[in-house]
Amino acid sequence: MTTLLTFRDNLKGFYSRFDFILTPILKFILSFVIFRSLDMQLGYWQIFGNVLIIFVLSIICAFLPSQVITGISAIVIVMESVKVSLDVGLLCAALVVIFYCGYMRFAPRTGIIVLLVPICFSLHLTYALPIILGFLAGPAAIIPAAFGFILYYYELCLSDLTKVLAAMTDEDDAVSGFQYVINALMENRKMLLMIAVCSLVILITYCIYKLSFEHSWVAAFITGGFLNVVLFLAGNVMLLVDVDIVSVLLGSVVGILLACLVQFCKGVVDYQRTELLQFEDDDYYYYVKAVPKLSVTGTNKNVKHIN
Amino acid sequence: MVREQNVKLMSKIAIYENNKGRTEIPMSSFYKGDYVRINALKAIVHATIAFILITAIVVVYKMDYLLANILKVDYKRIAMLLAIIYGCWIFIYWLIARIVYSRRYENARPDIIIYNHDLKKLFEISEKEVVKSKGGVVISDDFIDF
Repeated sequence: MTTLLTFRDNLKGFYSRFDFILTPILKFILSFVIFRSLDMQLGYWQIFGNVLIIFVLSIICAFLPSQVITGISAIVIVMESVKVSLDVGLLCAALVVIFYCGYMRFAPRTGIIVLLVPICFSLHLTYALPIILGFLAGPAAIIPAAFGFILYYYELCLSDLTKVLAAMTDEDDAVSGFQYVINALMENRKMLLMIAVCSLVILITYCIYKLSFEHSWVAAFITGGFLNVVLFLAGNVMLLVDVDIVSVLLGSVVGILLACLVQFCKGVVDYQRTELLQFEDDDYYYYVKAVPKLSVTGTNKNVKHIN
Repeated sequence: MVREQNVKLMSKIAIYENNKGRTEIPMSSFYKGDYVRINALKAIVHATIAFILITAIVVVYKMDYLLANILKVDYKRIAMLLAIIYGCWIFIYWLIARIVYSRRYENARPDIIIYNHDLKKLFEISEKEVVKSKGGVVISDDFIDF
């Protein structure tokens, strides 16, 4: 444990020392991955798939706030949709504006979650996501996560629509892309189940995480994981949706492990040294519970060679 | 001459101004009520745009039905329904905006107090230096003992 704590503290120290260079590098990697994944899932414009363009955009994003990544990605998604069909492009633009006006004004930083959800799908981490979001972002992550799921299925839907449009002959009735996309999204019960389960798991994980009893964070992660499995099982049976339960089970376990790892980096506490204090002033009585954080002071060995 | 205390204070002030201060300093020019009201009003404008867009999507989606029943549709009932939904939508947004922005203002207040305190301290130090440079005598606060 001491070794792990020392490693964590050294890592934190290293990050705070080189923060000015590490933050842009991490932002660059994040934006590069996001733009690349957008191109892989959509990819109707060759220009947005050009590695040089992605590289330049990522460099720009590396030095600007994270909202810029969300903004550029939104423009890319709208442009890709316009390439498929103009009405779908307008629908996509409307959805982006609705998301901005309806939600992103209140919590602009959580907008990036929308773009992370499709990446989690490709990394098979979808079922781990609600547990991690539950304690890292809390209820503020519910709407962006829901829009993230919509984005993922929207991308799949666009790929289907392109095939339908390509297979159409002059004799066939014209297919409205707008109607096709809305119908496909509204009839997608798997997506609706995922949104509902994710929202519930985020909310419950957050609520338990914030409670003051000992090891509440472990309880929150385990409850979140358990709920994830149970709700997907119930949804599977009730909505007759084809969700792979083994993936849900593995995803939940991975989610719990990842959440524990992130929590360890955020800081773990020593419940054995909990102090309960009580004092008062003119207006209030204070009942304070102080739990010290676990940390070790690294030894700075300084070897001095004397000839 | 570089004075350590001044440098420390100025660095602290600059770090705040470049990070949290960007959003929090403009807040300090408002009273809490005014700040919350202005932002709630902006939220209402944004919510209205979102509502118009959602309505437009629904109308375009149902366009075939509307065109087929253009004379049969009860427009008065639809308008009433829209007005009620819009009212509820705006009320919910207004409520959320009030909670979010008043909480944001309350969270920013301690930081702004510390920032103003640091600024005041820096100003006092620089004033003392000006007095000293003109050959005056600076009386320490500790000297005056009531």
